[in-house]
Amino acid sequence: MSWKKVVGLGVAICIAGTTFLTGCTSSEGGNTSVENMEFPLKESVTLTYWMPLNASVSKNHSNMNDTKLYQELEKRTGVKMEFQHPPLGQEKEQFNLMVASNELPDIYEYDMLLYQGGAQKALDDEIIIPLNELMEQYAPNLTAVLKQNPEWDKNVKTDDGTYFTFPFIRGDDRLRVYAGAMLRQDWLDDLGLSVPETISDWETVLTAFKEQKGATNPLSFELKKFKLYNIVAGAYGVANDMFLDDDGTVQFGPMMPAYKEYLTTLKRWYDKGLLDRDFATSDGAAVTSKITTGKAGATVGGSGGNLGNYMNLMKNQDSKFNLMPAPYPTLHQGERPKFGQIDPASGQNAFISPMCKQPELAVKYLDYGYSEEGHMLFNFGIEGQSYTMQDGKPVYTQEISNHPAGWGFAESLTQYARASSNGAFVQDYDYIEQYCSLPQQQAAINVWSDTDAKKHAMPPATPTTEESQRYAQLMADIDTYCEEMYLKFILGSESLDNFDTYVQHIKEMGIEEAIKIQQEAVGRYNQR
Amino acid sequence: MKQAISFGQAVPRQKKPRLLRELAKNKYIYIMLVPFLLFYIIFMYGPMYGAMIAFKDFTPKLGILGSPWVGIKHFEAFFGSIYFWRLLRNTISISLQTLVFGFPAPIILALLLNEVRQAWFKKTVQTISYMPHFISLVVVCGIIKIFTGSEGIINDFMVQFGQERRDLLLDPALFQPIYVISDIWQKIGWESIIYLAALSSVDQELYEAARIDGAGKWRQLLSVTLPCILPTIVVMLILRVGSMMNIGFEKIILLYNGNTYETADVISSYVYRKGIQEFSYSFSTAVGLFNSVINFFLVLSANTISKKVNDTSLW
Amino acid sequence: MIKRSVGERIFEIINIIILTLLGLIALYPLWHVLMASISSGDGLARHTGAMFVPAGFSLKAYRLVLETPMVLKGYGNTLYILVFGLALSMTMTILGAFALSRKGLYGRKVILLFIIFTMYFSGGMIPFYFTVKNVGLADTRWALIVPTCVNTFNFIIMRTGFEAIPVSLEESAKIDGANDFVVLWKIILPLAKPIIAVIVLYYAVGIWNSWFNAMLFLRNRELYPLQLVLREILIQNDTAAMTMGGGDADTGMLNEVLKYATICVATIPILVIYPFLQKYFAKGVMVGAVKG
Repeated sequence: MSWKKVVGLGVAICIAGTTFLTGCTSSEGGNTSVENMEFPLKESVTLTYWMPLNASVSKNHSNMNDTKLYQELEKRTGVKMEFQHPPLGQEKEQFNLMVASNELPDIYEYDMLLYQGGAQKALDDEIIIPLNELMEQYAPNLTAVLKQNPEWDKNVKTDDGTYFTFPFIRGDDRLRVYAGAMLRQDWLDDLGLSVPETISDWETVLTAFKEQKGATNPLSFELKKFKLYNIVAGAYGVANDMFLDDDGTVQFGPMMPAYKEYLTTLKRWYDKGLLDRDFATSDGAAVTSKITTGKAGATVGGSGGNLGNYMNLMKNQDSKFNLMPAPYPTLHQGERPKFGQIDPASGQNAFISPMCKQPELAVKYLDYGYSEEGHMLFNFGIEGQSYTMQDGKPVYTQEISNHPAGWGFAESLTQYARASSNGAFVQDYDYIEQYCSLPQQQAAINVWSDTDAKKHAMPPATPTTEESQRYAQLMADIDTYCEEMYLKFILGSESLDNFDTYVQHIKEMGIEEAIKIQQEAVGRYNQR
Repeated sequence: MKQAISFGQAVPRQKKPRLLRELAKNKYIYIMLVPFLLFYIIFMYGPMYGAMIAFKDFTPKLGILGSPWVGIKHFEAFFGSIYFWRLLRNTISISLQTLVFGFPAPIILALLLNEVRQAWFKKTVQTISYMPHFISLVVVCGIIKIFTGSEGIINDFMVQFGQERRDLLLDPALFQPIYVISDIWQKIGWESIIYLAALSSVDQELYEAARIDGAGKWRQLLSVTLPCILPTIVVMLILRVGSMMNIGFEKIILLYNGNTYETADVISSYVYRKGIQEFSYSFSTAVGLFNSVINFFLVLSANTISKKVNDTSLW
Repeated sequence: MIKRSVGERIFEIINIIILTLLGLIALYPLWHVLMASISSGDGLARHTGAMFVPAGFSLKAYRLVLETPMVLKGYGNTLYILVFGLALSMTMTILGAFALSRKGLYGRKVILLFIIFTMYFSGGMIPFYFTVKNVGLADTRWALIVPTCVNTFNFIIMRTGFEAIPVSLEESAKIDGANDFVVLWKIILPLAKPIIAVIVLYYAVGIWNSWFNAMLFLRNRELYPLQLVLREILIQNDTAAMTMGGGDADTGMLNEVLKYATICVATIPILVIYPFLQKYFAKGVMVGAVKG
C-alpha cells in the first residue's frame, strides 16, 4: 500500500469524523507528517486518551501522567498524552454522555460489552474506527503477535474479520485462571484426611469439619462466586449458565437433568448443615469472618483477594492456619474436571475514535505496547528502577515488592507498569509468579488450571445488535426465575419433584430462542 | 392557624381580574417569582423533551431526537413481563406498610419529644435519633444482616425459646416486616425534624388557655397541638402518597435473595436487574414514566380530597 | 408553677424511658461504624456479630483516608459549593415560597401545578447534561450549585410554613406602607425561623451528600467534591478485590476498616450542623409576635 493511500484513508476517516465534530480534542496545529513518524517524534504531538483510572493508581495520583510509566512512555515516543479519567464506578454513564455529545477523545479504553449492542454496534455507530488497513502499515508488532497466535487473533475481530481494538492479552494460560475452592489443610492433617477430589470426598471432609472441628458452617462462600465458577455443578457436567458441551453445542445448565442431581446434592448438604446457613445472603465480609474464626473450613474465591488475604489475616493469629487450594471436584475418582473459572485469553482494550485526527500516530503509539521494549515496560517498568534482570529473568526491585512507605504490591507496581490491571499489551507470566508469592497461591494456579474449562466456556462471540437485544430481553426474566428456583430447591421451599415443571416453565419463557441466538453467534465465531 | 386559613379564604376575589392590573398590584411579588420561574423553565422544563425516549429505542450516538420511534414497545415489554403483577403487588404492599407504620412514627416521636421538660435530654435524643439517616444504605443493610443472620442477636434471643437458628432474611414472610421496621428505624428521627419545627411554632398561650379550661394532657394534645400542626402533617401526607410507587432499589437488592423474590422484588429492583443486562435507557425511562403517572394521579387525588376535607392543599 | 398530677408524672417517666431506648437504638449504627473505623484490619475481619468496642485498635484507616491528596481538595470544593449553594438555594426558595404563599395571587394555582409537575416528570440524565452544558456551566463548580438550587420538596415545606403565619401581621405592616420585600424581611422571616432552620438543614445535607451531578458535569478531577472522592475510595477497594483474582492481599484486610473510616470522614462534619440549628426549634418563638 502506498503512502498516498494511507494518507488518503486517514483523511477520509477524519472527514467522516468531522461530520459530527463539535469540539475537536486532537492536537492543535503541528500535524506530524506521516513520513517522519519515527519514535521519539521530533516535535511533540498531543493526543487525548480516556481511561478509567485503575484503583491502585487513583489512591496516589489523579492522572496517569503522574505515573513513571507514562512519563517514560512520553520520553520514548514523543507523544504527549492528555488523559481524561471518569470517576470510578461511573464509567458507563460518562461514556454514554461522551458518545451522545460527540466529545470522544482520540483513544479510549472501555468495556464495549457495556455498550448496548456491543462492539459490532459501536463500529456501525461509528464511535470506533476499523483498524485493518492502519494496522498493516503502522502496527507491525501487534500484527506479528496475532499472526503467531490464532487463538488470540480470533477474539479481537468481528465475524467479518474487522479488527477494531488493541487487545489486552494474557500471555499464558495460567494467567487466565485465578479462582477456585480452598480449604483448611491443617484441619485435614489433624483429621488424617487428604485433599478432597470427588463430591463424596467433599461430603466426608465437610462432615468431619463440622463434627470434629466445630465448624458450624463448614462450607461458606459468596453465592455469586460459587455459581460463577461452577464449583459443584461442574462435577455433574453442567454449568449454572450457558456453556458448550463436549460436541461444542450450546447448552443451558439450569434446565438439564443433571442439574437436578446437582441441586439434590446441595439440598442434602444444606439439610445436613454442611453449607453455610447464611449462604444465600453472605457477603465477602461475612465469609471472611467465618473463615478466620474457624466457623467455616472451606470456601471459594480468588488467589489474591481471598486466599492471600485470609493467609495474611491469620499470619500472626494462628501459625498453623493453612488454606490450600483444592481441585475442582468431580463425580468419580480420576476424572478431569470439565469446568472451572477461566478468563478469555485476549480481550478488547483500547479503541481509536473517528475524531482522532492522526489515527496513524495513535495506532503506532498503541502498537508500542506489543514491541519488545513495550512489553518490558508495561509488565515490569523501567530497568534498574522497578526491575533488574537476574539469570535472564526480570525481577521486581524492593521498591515494588517491599515498598519503603508500606504500599501494597499492586499499588507500587502501578506506578511503573500495568501488569496487575490491564492495557494494550501482552501480560507476562513472570509477573504473576512474583505478584502471588505465597506457596499456597503458587500451588493454586496449577491446581485450578487443571481443568477442561477452556473447552466448555462460552467464547467471546459477537451477536448482532438485534440478537443481543433479544437475548438480553429473554434472559432478564429467565435468570430471575432460575435464581429464585435455585434457592427454593436448595432450601426446600419447593420440592425437587417439581423439577420437570420448572424446566417446562423455562422453556415457555423462550430459552430455546436464547440458546439458538448463542449457538449461531458461536457458529460464526468458529468460522473466523 | 385555623383562623389564618379561613381569613385567607375570605379575601375577596375579583371574578376575572385583568392580568395587567394584577401585575401592577403585586409587582414585587411577580419580580420575586422571575428568577424562581426561570430556574424551573430552564433546568426542569428545558430537558423535559428527554422523556420521549420512553417511546424510542435510544442509542447514544443518534441522540434523543435522532433515535427511532418504537411506540409503546417498552411499555408492552414491562406490562407483558410474567413478573408484572408480582412486582406491582410487592411495590404497593411495601409502600402501604411504610405509609401506615412509617408515616405516624416520626409524628409520635416529635410529640413525645415535645413533652420532655429537660432541655438537654430532649436535644440529645433529637440529635441522636436523626443520625441513622446519614449512615449509607450499604452499611445499614450490613448491620441488618448481622442482626438477622443465623448467628445474630435476634437468633440468640429466639434460641432461648427453643427455636432453631436460621437466617431470617431467607424467610419470604419476614422480608417485608424487616424492610419496614428497618426503614422506620433509619428515618424516624430525620423525618421528625419537620414536625418539631412545626411544634415550636405553636402559640404557648393556647396551652395556657386550655389548662385554665381544665384540659388534661390528652385533651391539650387533641385540641391544641394536633390542630396546630395539622397543615404540616397533611402536606407531608400528600407528598408521601404521591411517592407511593417509588421504592429505592438499593436497599431491596442488598437484602433480597432468590428465596424471597416473591415478596421482595419490586418494580425498581426489577428495572435495575434488567438494566444491568440490557443497558437500556428507554426501558427504564418507560417504567419511570409509568410510575410517575401513577404517582402524579395519586398526588392529584390526595390533594383534592384534602382540600375538600380540611382546606389544606399543595396548590 | 403549675402542679403536675400523678398521671402526668408517670407519663413523663415512661416517656423518658421510651425515648432513651429509642435513642440507644438509633445510636447503634453510628456507634457500630465508629467502632469499626478505629478497629484494626485483621481484628475487624475476624469479628462476628454486633459491635460495641473496637476489634483491635488502629487509626491507620483514618491516616490513609486523610493522606489521600484528593480528600483535602474535596473538602475545599464541598465547602465552596456548600456556602454559595446554600446562599443561592435559600434566596431562591424563600422568594418563591413567599410569593406563592400570597393568597389570591393571580395565576398562583397554575404556577404551583407547573412546579409540582416537575417532581414527577423529568427529562433524564442526558438532556439535563446538555442543558447545563449549553448554559455554559459544565466543568465548573457552579454546575453543582445552579441547576439544582431549588428543591421542590423543600419549597413546598417552606411555603406551608409561610402560609401558617397569620395574615393579620402583614396587613398592619402593609398599612404602614411597607412593600412586599420589606414584609418578607421584617415580618415573615423572623417568624418563620424554625422552618427556615429546617430547610437550611435539608439543603445543607443535600448539598453535602450529593455526588451524581459532579460525576455528570465535572471532567477536571481537581474540582471533585468530597463525596465523589470518598465514593471512589470506597469503590476502588471493592473493585480491587474483584479484579485480577482478587487484587492485593496486603491491602485486602484494611478495606473493610477503610470503608467505615471513609463514612466517618464523610458524615461527622455534617452531623455537627444540627445542634447549631436546634435552638431555632425552641418552644414559643411566636409568643409575643402573634399577640397583636
